[in-house]
Amino acid sequence: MLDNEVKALHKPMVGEMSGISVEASSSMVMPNIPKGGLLLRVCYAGACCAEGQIRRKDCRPRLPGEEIAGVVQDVCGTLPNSNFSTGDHVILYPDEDISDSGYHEYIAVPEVENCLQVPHSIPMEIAAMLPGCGLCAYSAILKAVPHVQKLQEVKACVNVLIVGAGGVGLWASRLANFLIGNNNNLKLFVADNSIDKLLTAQEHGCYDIIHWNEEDHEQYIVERTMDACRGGVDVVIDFVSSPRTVHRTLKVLNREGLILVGGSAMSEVSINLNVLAAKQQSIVGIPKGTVRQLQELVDLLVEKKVEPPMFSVHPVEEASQVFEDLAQSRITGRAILSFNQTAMLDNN
Amino acid sequence: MHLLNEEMNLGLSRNSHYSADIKMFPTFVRALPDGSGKISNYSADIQMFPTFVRALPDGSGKISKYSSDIKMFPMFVRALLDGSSKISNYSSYIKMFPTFVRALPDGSGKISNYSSDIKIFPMFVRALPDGSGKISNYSSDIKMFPMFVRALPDGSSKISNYSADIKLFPTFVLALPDGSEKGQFLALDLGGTNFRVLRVRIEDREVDIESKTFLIPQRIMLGTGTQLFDHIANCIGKFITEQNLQGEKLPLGFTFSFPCKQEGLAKARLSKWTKGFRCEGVVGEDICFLLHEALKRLGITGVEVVAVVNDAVGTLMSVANNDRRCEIGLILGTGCNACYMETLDNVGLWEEDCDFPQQVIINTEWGAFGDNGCLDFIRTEYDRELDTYSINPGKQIMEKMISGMYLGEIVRLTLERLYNEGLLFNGMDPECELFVRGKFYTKYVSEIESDHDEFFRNTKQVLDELGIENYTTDDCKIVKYVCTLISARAAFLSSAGLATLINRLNKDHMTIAVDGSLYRFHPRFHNLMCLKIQELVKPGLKFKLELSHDGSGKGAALVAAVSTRLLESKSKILPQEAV
Repeated sequence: MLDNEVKALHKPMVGEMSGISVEASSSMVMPNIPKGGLLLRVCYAGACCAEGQIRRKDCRPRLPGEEIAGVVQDVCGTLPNSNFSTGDHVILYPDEDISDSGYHEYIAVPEVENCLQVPHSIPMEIAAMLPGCGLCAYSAILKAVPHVQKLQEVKACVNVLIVGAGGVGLWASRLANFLIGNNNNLKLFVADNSIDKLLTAQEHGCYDIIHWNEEDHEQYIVERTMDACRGGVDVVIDFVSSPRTVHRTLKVLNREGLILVGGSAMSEVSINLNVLAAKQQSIVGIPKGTVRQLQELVDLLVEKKVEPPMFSVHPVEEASQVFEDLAQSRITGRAILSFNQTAMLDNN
Repeated sequence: MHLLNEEMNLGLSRNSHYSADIKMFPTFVRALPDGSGKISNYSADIQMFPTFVRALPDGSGKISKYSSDIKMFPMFVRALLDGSSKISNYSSYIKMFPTFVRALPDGSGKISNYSSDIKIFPMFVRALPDGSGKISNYSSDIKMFPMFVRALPDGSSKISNYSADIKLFPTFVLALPDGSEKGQFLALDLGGTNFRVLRVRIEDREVDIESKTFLIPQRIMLGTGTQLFDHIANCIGKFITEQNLQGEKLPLGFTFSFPCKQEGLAKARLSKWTKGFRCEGVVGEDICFLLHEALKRLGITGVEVVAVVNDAVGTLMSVANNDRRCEIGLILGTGCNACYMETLDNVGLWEEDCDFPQQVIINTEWGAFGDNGCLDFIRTEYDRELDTYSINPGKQIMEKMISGMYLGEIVRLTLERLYNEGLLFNGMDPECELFVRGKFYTKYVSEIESDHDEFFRNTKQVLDELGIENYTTDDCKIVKYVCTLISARAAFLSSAGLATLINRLNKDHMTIAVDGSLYRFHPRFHNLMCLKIQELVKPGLKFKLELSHDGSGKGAALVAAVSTRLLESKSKILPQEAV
């Protein structure tokens, strides 16, 4: 058992800039390696925070959050050598314990099953996106596939609407094209509040973009959506799931339509269940992806079957500014924070 | 009850503070069914707000016959007369622009002698470029109307004055033929952050429309004119490719919903930007020319802008197509504008003409009414603040009291003031969105006013979205009340304008074509307007407000279809004559 207690140079990695305060517990102590586990040094973390929350300023983005890619720092001696060794690139399957732990540069991982190797052919900043938005999108699309295929047998064209053009929406767009977009009878639409994000989404293989301008009247938005999605919408993948988005999608959803809901909107949504039943529609929660699905996703990337969506890398010192920019939709695509690569700690 | 009394006393003692801004409210208070002025008669809502009730300009109880919006009414009438008779000078603040649309699609029944084709626009037949009267030069259609052709007293000598205008009149001659019209047209609808490109196919009276909405990012709205038109041309190109229309000849009708000085059917110079746009290098320029240049830059041939209309005109055309009595068009959405059919006697530009139909559609651009200060007696501190922080301070004063772009902001400013005075949302977090300019969307006003019970479902959802916590039911009632006042004022102001037009046109039955999100989605706008117009029009005049469907899209295509048909027939007769 290694016993490293390192006093790292204390740099204020995250600060309190205007608006968003990023929570960081500045304990720089390298944790002990858990028994049967390994120690991970974080290299990249995706900046995750739902837009709605930032707007209300009660969002406290926690770093490193749910999307972590890093390098194995050290491995517990009891693990067989072939599994992990120091220097391996890995991503971490998001677990409750990890994301709540606050900012640490080093993370002790007790369950190595949650650690997935990433071949060096995939850059780490891309790998960082996988456990969070990549996995969420993958899980959502997988859930939608049987329904879409069933409809594709009877309908000339199946319309799928993705609500939310952030990182997860862009992943969903790419993955949908790969998994269910092979025939010409699928049309993918993306809706969002931000025009800039939609223009980015256009490059990710969707058929059309629909601007859900929050300032417009609901009925006007519904009309425009119906105009764009001729024949109504058959499947909705809603990564926002606020009362407004759900009501809009219910108005454009066809009979036997399916709405997949996810997102971190905390508000309650009232739905008329009778109408749902009468139209034989269903609302299903997007399941949390499994480790196996995460592995599949890594494989898809390695085999170049799916291209990752647009992303940008920012040093973690600018985290507050990054979150601010995300809230204002000044950043489109995924934002990835890179951790101090040169903080090679001196082992004294 | 106790609390109510306390509040009443508190309110009563603060009377003097409210006198200025209450000015805008009295009409609505008085306009209540029990409008006698006695507090006890008012509905439960009002009972809570004696401060507003008491501080009437006529606080002494003398309820004069006219509400403040009626006071504005005669002023508006005057402005109208000034505007249309001095069109060439543009001296009035309402710049009334002749749109060169001289007659409505169905010809209002006055032209019974003529074939259905020409029935509609004999006026344009008259003003042919080759006005010398050589009838034989023209298509057989036109041959039928020598009366009009020779009608110009000394047509040739006056033609040069109108050369720019008249050239375009013929394009309107054959409008909405009786089913023989055939072809494919593009329509472009630009009025806000979304713009649409439409492909309209007309055959045997069947109209088939395909459309696509494109977005205009903020940086282009505030960038240069070249960027804007390049973007538009780009989108047109994409649409053409998608619809497999490459290489085809496509006449285009352009609904351009900004104040323009129209010099011809396909020549309009932008007077100023409104609705949040601010592209450099466009004001004063011919927008058709700019669009053509952009299309050329992209190598898109085949698309030709043949007509520019304003959305109000498009709305009017769309309804007038089916309703002979429609002569007024109104837009109540992001912006506010109206157009109507004016008789030529009142229009300085056409003094020479003495045959009929002696009329032309005038685009009032009445959003600018009040820019010279004449509406200040209605304006409140909230209006002034909104104006100061707007993108075009001092301009579009009337529009800023009516249209959807500003209504929400007025409510927000009022609520902010009420909070600051401790009358609303006690204990609210000052970091919430209520204090951010532009965050109270006008759609909230419609939603809040859709609540009809004590649950205030919609109001609560709005308050939640704004980040306001710990609100009480009383807070909800107050918010709803403020919304009703402000939207009622908007309805009444536009009613005053409409009543003016109705009285001016003085027809027994008048249909008014209306479009716009504010009119369509607000629960009470229509009813409020009907009530107020009824009050203000001359007794005996009947009117009807009719919702127009897709005036900007179909309307523009209609105009393009008409204009094209004429150009085609003209080129058959006079192949050597330049257009």
